[in-house]
Amino acid sequence: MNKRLSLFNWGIIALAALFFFVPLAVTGVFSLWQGGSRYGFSAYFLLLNTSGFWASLWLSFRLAVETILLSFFLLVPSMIFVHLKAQWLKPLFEFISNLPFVIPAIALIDGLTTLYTGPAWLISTPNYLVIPYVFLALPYAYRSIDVGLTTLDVKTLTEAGQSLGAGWGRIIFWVLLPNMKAALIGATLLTLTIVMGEFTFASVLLFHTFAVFINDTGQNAITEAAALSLFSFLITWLFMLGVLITGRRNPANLGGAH
Amino acid sequence: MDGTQIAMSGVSLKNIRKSYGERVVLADVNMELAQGELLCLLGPSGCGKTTLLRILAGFETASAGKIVLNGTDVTRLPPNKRRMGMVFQAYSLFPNMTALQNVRFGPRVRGVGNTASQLAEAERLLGMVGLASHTQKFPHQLSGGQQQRVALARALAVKPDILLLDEPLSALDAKVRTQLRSEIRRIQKETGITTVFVTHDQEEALSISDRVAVMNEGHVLQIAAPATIYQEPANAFVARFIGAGGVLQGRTEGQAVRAGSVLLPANAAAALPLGTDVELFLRPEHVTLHVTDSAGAVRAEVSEQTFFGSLTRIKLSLSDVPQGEIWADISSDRAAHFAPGAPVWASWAPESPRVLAR
Repeated sequence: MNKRLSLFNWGIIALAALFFFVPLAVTGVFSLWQGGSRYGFSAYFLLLNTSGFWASLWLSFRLAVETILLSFFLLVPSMIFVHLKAQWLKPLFEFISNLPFVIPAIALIDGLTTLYTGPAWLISTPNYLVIPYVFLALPYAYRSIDVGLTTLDVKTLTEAGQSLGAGWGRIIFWVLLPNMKAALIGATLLTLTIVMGEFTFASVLLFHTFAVFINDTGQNAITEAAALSLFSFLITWLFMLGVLITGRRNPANLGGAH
Repeated sequence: MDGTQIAMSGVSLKNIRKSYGERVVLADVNMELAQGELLCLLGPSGCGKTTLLRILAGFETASAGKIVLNGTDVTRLPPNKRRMGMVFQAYSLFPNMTALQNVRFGPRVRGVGNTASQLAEAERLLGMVGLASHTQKFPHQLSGGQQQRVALARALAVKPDILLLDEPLSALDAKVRTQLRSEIRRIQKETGITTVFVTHDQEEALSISDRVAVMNEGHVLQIAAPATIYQEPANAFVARFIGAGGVLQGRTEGQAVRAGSVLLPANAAAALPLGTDVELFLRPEHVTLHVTDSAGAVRAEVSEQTFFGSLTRIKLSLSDVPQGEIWADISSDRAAHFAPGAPVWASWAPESPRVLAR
């Protein structure tokens, strides 16, 4: 098979790269502007020393991890169950997973605050955000995991595991999850990105997440806001890269050599 | 061997019934397997053979009936509590594990021995299936035949009381299939594990098993040794399903069957009352062809030739018999004498045909 790219292909790639990198480069240049014709890193130094920067970043990251864990805890076993035992429930799952697309965020917040009461550690702390975040990330996490389960012969692998004496725990953790690595990484990355950038829920519920911090900073110091945007972009990318590299260490390929 | 002995040392299925609503998939199946026996469940698609195997494995629950394994009722036991090894039609190896890790999986989850003994046993089994040099390969690095060998080794690693094989060769090409078939039989004999082998391929069933159970529409029609199934089919379905053969319809008339104006020699017809509507089954290897008229031969016309290498199968329509056809296997060297459309004379020994009432 000829794998060489034609001039046209290279042209398309160059256009896509321009579309992607030009705004980043311009934001980068703007973040270095110090007034007049002076350029430097003062915005970055200022940013790193601003109170609330590290706290908001850590908070968003922690919420992202909690959201990912809760999403997996809820979705993985239930979706395995649907794939194995209750295919007829799949349309219902599809419907529910698409609800976040049609329910406005503000309506969701209103509904959640009315619906959920509970212990102070949940309701009056940022942990409360995990609930709407799971809902917000649901379409993406669901789709990723669903693709992972569909490409895997879950039924045969489960039955093979059972016939060898394995219970559900071992089948899920030793057999199914390792073979859904790509799907889980996809769901992780998407959820992480969504949570790191989520503004509406946090702002309305008065929690100081990283996205709220970026917005607040942008109100007063626009070069710092540009620097902050680049910084958040960079850490999201670094995290994605880390997860991808980890995921590639032990590739689980499906199919056979014939 | 009587039934009690079999139940104590093998497998006993008693009145197994499975239905989905109104649809009955298995209708009161009774079966006894002796220790070390290889039984093939043979039948067309949808006959219930895989459902029966899955009930044995515990993946499906019987609507009624009882499964006794080595004297213990296992009907309600979940699959992971039954001591059964299973090889699936689809390659079922765990893609994230090497061949060695796949084979070690069973002993590991069952906590049999320590790591060293589990690995040693897994290596021994992979050696037994001819994959000693492939232990560190992942499933995607193995061919289909090699994957099924690993699956077989993996099923044997848990030292099962019974080995269940669900059409394990059907996804393989013809050559690998024949080779692996012989190896499965060799290993089964070596290990002495009671085995149930599901297939829809009659040649596979006849060549590999101690006994064959022919199934259709949820019923077991006949359980017998391969030779008996082939030579003495219990009914018309078994006769048609097993092996190629001609079928002619007629009425008994002493030691013959009258079909149209022709009297077809068949000693078995004498066992039925005169004038009974019957079907006469004739295997192609029992039919002899002549280019000229011969005593006791029936006039026919060649309607088709199929070349099988050393043999050529000739399809014949009998000139004075309105319904049915017969087949004859001849050496391919002689096939030129029997071109399509040529008149021939067919004869057979009177004891060869099987005669069954319609």
